[in-house]
Amino acid sequence: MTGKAAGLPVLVAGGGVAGMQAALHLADAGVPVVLAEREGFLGGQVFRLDKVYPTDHCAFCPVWPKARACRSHPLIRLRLKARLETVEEDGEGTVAVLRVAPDAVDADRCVFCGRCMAACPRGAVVGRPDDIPHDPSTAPRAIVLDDLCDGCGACAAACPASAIEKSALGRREPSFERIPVRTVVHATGFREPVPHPAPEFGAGTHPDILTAMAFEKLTAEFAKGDGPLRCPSDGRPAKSVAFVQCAGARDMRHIPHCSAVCCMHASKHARWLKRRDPSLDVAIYHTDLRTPGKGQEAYMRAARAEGVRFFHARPGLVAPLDQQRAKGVLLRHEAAEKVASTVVDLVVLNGGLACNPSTVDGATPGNGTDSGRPGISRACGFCREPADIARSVIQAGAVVAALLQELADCVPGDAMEASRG
Amino acid sequence: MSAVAVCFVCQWCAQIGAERAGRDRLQLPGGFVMVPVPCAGAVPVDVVLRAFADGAEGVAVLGCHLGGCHHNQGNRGASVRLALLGATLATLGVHPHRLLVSFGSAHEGHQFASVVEGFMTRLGALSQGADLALLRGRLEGAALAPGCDLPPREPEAGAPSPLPADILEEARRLLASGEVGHVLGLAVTDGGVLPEVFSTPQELERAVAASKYPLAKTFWRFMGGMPQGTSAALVCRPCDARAVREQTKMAQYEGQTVRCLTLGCSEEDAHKCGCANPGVDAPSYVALPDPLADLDPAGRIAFWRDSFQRCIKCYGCRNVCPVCICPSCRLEDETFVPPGILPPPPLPWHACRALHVADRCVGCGACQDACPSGLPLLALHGSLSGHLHRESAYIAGMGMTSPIAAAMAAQGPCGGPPPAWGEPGGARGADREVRHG
Amino acid sequence: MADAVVLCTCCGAMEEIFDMAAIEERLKGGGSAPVPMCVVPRLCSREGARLAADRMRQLPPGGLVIGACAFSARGDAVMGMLAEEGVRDIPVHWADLREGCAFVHPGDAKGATMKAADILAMGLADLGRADGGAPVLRTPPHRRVLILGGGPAGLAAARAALQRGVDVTLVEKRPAIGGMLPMLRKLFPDMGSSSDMLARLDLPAGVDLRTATAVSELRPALGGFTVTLKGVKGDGKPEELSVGAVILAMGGQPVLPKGRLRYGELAGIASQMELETRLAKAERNPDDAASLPRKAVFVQCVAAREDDRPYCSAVCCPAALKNGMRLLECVPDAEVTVLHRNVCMPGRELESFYRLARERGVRMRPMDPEVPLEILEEDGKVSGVRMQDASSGETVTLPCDGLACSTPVAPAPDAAKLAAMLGVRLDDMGFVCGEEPARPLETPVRGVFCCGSVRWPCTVAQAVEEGAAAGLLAATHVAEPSATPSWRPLNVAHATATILDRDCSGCGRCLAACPHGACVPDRGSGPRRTVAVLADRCEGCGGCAAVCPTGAARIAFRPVAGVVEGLRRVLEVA
Repeated sequence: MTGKAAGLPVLVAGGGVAGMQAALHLADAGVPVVLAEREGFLGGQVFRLDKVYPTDHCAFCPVWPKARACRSHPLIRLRLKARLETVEEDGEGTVAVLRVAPDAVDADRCVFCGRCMAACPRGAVVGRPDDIPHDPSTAPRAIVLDDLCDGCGACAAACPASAIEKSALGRREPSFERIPVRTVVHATGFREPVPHPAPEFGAGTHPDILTAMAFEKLTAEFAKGDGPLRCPSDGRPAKSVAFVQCAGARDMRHIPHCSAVCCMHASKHARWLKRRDPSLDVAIYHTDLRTPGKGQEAYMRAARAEGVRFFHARPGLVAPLDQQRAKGVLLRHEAAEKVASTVVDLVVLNGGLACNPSTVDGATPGNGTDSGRPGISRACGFCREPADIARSVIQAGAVVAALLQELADCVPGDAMEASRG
Repeated sequence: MSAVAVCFVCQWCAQIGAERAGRDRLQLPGGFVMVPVPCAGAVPVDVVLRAFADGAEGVAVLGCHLGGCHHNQGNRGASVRLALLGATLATLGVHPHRLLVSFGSAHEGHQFASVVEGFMTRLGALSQGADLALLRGRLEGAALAPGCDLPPREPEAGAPSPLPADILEEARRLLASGEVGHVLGLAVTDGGVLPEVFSTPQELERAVAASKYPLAKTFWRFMGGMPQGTSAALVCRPCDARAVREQTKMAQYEGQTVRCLTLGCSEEDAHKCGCANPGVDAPSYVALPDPLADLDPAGRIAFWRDSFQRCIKCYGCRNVCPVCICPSCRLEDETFVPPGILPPPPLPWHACRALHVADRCVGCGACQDACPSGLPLLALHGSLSGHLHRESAYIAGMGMTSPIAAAMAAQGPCGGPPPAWGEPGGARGADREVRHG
Repeated sequence: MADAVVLCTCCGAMEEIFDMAAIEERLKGGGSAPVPMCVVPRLCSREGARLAADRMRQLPPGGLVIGACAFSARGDAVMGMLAEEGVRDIPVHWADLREGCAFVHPGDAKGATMKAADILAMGLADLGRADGGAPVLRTPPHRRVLILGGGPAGLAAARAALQRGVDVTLVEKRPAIGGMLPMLRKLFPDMGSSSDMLARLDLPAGVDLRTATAVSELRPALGGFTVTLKGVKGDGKPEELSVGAVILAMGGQPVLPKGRLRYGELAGIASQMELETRLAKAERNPDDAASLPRKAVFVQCVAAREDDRPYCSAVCCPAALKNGMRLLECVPDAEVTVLHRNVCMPGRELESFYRLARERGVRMRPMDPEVPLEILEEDGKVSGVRMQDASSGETVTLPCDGLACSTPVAPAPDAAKLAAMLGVRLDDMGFVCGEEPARPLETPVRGVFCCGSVRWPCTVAQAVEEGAAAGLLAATHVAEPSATPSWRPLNVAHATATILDRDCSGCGRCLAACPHGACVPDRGSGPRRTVAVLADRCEGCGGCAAVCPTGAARIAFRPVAGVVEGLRRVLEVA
């Protein structure tokens, strides 16, 4: 590595827990970082959660200080609404190409005074993304909803901080930013695949068959209101909920791997449902129950003690009943070598979480963070190996430790000077 | 409108939740102020008492979900201590809606809003409550009010009697063998029955027992003046022995050795003292009349107003209390107890002391005996001891634990099984507020 | 020097609801001198910060109340800009007038104005009773990291910490490093050799390695900790070192299946670790394969996932499958059946490994945990196992000539002692606790980290990851003394607790309340013990001050007296 490269930043692609932790580790070691996050806020999937296992913390609290630190660390440059398009290696070095989504509001200038929201005749300027149950951002700012905006510019005129660029309103095309970097750390996390890989679980066929994150959103909304859990289809109170584990996962036809977090995720939901309404019938249909982490088995045992029922069975069919004749969702599963049918009000499908695309290459299992070659990008978090919050944070530390080994010619003092210059 | 309620919000979940409510521009009722604190466990009960006395009609403490505290179990500690405060308020007849402890999460601005809204609405319904005068200390001047029904008691030390043979023998043996250097007991002097330190077996000839003389505090003072390495024994009643154990829990005898030679108390003695539990190592309950038993909240308010208005702030209760061992006392801190006000407002005074000693009070009754105005202090302290017994099966002086310390040491989900919801220390289902009283 | 108030109008938005003159008037109340007040249109800008700083320079205040948005919105930026303009080292109280007041009382200008004035008054009261002026400075940590344990976790930690340019001392009580690695010959999931792994983890030059050395004492001290080592090096005399951070990496120990499944009573019944040793011998010398079982049954979750030990030890399923495959390789016509209660192999790598094991012929049977296994014997040797198959419900007899019990990993025997010395709490199973879930390797005690099986049973690969991450954290802790820990939500005032010795009764309530091990018993000037605060560990949570009956424990910048006085001002009693 030449001296010129010494001042270049490391790009961390992904601003979830793993990415934020990696960025903080690097920055604390004096390495400048560009942290690129696809959404308009840091936090990733964790900030879409209501509570986390096994501590029952709210998902926001333990992670928010990391987001805040990423925002304010002098060595971290935050690029929100930016995805890593590609990584180019030419003779000179590595260039990360970011695809940046258009954002008419300059988040650094916006003071969140609210004048733009009041000025917009269409209600297209809001204070938080409304497709997520809670406000996941750590710093409030105005957000323009592209579908509703017609570019009239009333918001820009009303803004006292010149934070809205009228010409940028309604723009759809992304821009591309090329950043010379030393290397890339991938931390792009996971997504629930759409369409669902396994049709026999009925995902998408009925509003009462939900994926795990959709259920998270529903019950977080539920926490907002008083009253019982309601079926999305017709609003009637739900009396029974079934969690189906490994839906589409651990299945050579669809997704062969195990997503590691779903058993605990379902237990968490199940316990919270029972707490809110002990009369609710809550059942978890599982293959292998996986509780290897700290406090997890105890959490699961508590769920059992609180009345959550566990069935060792993978349903072969989940389908809505003919709504004319009866309400509910049918599950067909094996029980004592016979086929049983159960009807419940809500079904939650867990499993089959897909690792988001990244360019993981050459990671050696066993000591997976050491690829042995300098300048090769690394991955941490769910995109590399299904992991929960604790494991993602640990992986981020391990990846950066190995990376620093390779960037050994980057002395902290030099890097700070280079970044200021 | 000026503020009538105080909301303590922890800087993690509660304050961020409040900020969310603001960001979402949820409309909140007026009349409350927020005091950010580092942790729900950082809210001193004394400040809550003082807030009531200064004009708050309600106080809320909002923290993170149980199990989610960022300072280990601070919110659980807050829950236990504020539950005790709630029990005190209930004893006094104060409406339970005036104190709220609620656990929430940072995500939920709407939850914060609904908690505050509910709290302020409930408070609004109480704005003319008779308990406000009691909270704020608007009591009439000190006059002996009739009709305060106390069981008859013998304030005298009681006639001296010889020590039981086994106690005398043990005391002699301890001194003779050098196992202890001193034995504190009672002796008859010109002034009557008084404490005396016996240093040789011969001196023990003069030792007597008197059923009412409290010795634990005297013993504490005595040992405070003795050097490290001193070992001494105390001939005393069961309540004194329990008090000495509480003093030991408070590290008052580190580097010293203490032994209690405990005289037994009969049921008759217990009735005379108003002592509900004259056991030492195991409980031994005596059924006593409870002056508060048949009183509804209005009756309790009247009962306590009549009592507290007689207080002349002599500090006698604190001075004789064997577990009041602080070198500097909150009751003399001008911030909490501004001087020159008689009778002192009940919350920062009586309730404050009761809460400070709640998990230490052994029910010896020395405070009530010492009170020149005949305040029914045993009823106040006893109600808190009863609360701790119901919630944590705890009896002061009978073991080396403390329920408050235990709550804060309790491990959460990553340190063992969490408490089931519905248990003390657990929140209750959808109603995540823990209201007391 | 009076305290001053800076109000930000958020580009004029606050002026639409607050009556600034009325606020100033209300703050004056009580006939005292007017409080210097400065109204700035936008504090979170260079111009705004400069404006405020200029006003502060004209009238140097003792303390500053900033009335603006919520701290989480723009607080960091404002404090940074004010510092750059020279406003630093004075106590600051941040008052949220926006999210906490203006935004939530939109229709009530009068009420909102009064509330804003009240909030500012409380802030002034807070400042008025703050102890002292300068923030408490923590002692910079010693630039040395102490690692306890020379297994995979400790070795990885040493490498990572050394790379950051700090000094590293690694203490291992056994004569050689490696931890449990030498007991395992092959590692999953790639059947790599443990000696290769050991070579990869070999310590770089520069690590102060102390083998055959025990820790006899570990005390908190200014700048971190003082450790007393007793080792073979030197002349066996105890040696004291000052370190800035400690990493607990003492690992775990496998539990022996004593009293279970007739282990120790019948021949042919072994623990999984014992089988591991025999497989290693057979792999080195094929003649030894003759002693391996031909029909092997592995029983999972022995002495685990039960009431006495309600946790899953995470490594036993992978280990069993690994050994099953090795057995089949050594003895090609052998049969291996694994009796399990859920196969715990989450994720991608382990799931692939599980699939591979089944492809190679390892058989899996789920057993009903409610029905105890029956061990069948013949001539003092195990001959079979009778079990209830959980999926079919049938009772099945499996003939076998070898039974291996998979038992859990328990924490290292010295974990409790060392944790107690440091003030670190253990969970009810004896494992060290970090701050789950987002700071799993950081204990609540500042400067003490944990990794590997002493924290929770983990595979060698995971131990290496955890060690590297912990080493990085520890090195950052000692190398960046002035950095605010990234997890603290508020850094407006560097609040720490102090305990006034003369007012302290030694009662110890604060000892129970402190989660960070910052309150420690002390020897005061009086006859009885007192308690003191280690400022380096204090996080300013206020727990001690809340439970202290005398007021001896107090938090600088968060004075209880200030809160009381502030509330008194706003709770007007008619």
